[in-house]
Amino acid sequence: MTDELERDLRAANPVRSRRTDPLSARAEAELADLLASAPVVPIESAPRKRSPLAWALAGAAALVVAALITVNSLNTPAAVIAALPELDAVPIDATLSEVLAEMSANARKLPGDTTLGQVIDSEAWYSEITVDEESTTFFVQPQLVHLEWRDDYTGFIETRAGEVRWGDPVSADGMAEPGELLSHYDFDEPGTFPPVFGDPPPDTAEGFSEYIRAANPEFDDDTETMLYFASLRDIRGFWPLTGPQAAGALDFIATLPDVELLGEVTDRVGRTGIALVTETKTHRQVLVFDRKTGQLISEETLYLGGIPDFDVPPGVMGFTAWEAAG
Amino acid sequence: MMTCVSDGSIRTPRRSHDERAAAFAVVYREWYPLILTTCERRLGDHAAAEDAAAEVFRIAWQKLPDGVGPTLPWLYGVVRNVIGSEYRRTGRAAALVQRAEGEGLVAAQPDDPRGFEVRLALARLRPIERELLFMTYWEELTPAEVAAILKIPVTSVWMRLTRAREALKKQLDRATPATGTISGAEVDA
Repeated sequence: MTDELERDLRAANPVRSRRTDPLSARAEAELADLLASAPVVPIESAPRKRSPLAWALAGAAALVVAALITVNSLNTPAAVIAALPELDAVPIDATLSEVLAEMSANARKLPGDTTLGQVIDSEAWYSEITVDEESTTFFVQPQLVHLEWRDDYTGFIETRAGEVRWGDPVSADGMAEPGELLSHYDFDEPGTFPPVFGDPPPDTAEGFSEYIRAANPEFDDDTETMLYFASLRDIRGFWPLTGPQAAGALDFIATLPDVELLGEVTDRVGRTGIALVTETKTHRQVLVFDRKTGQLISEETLYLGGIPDFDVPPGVMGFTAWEAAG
Repeated sequence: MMTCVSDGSIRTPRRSHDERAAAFAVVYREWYPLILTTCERRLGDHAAAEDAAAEVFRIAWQKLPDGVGPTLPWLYGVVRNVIGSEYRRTGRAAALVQRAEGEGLVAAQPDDPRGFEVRLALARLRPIERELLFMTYWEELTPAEVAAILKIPVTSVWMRLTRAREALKKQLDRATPATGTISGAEVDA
């Protein structure tokens, strides 16, 4: 979809280089020089594990964009973000492995037919915070995302404003009328719809491991569980998993380290589920599953603090809740 | 044998030098123009961007483990470090990097009034909004690529792009006719 704003934006690009340019003579020569040289770092000793600093930088970049927080003052009061409640978990009488096995078994009893082409509805929000000398505003207004795609990879993504769920907007600035159409993107040409995971998900733990690593070749045995949780979130964003696929995802989680059973929670749209959590030094990722079907129904991300020069207090940064498949 | 995967990166099996070189050449030819573009957008100078892009791929060749080619998110991370080093080398404090990028944006040749208005409006956006618009419309990244680089869901990219476009529209609506000068530009970094 190309509109006037997009045309203006592209026309205003002052950069001479383009992504579609062929290699220049200089670039060709530099490539030849590189290939003629030996790597300085021996192949087998090259660093494979993400360093804490790299994690922090990546996390900071993701958070800055992910949260879209407006902070006009560096003196953000911690209470502003703390106003958003964390999930309240009730312990359950089962271990992590027991509850994973139970949900997996439940999921495997459900239908297993899968087809290309999907309809996905979800509700998501991110923090909207404005702090300045005149007023402090904090509210959470979810967005309702409707996504449809077909077996020829055509489709559309439509986003509408949801109801304000937390906080009290002081002014209408930045707040959309609930139900208001915020965006509509069409993908009319076959092959243009952009799922990250284009093939149907597998239904075994081993299959999920290969499926995720194929899309993330930098993943290895040292990759933190947080990134696998994020991949499961991304898969769910485009595929309403069948029963066996959901079981495969749960079986895969059972193979991951650093997963904890948080307990039973009520997600942001009022559904009861089993929450699993994994943490890094700076972030916590929560996945919420329907205990009866094993389906991933919600996810949310919390910032735990600790990133240098990222002057935002810890708190819940955003979540997604998927409507039940079918 | 090489396998292209969905994010455009290359997976190769182990590994003679020739095999590794061949795989790297594929990656280089695929991503070099994009990396050059993003370097030029950040540095505002084509020659400096060529130097930076060369450094990015030199690091990629030296540092990457065998068997796995550089992914786009990995390359973007190296770009950030290389550009940061370039700013430090030229005496610009790291804290001013984003402001400098905004100023460089507005200072770009105002050869047409509308283009200048748009660049001025872009410079007044928050850095996070500006970055998303740059990645999408100037660097021609797909939503999946943006999502991979920012480590967020693709659907979130669409939502946030919508926000950034709305913010840009507001700035353009507020804009006064461009005068062709940059003295009045207030870059909000």
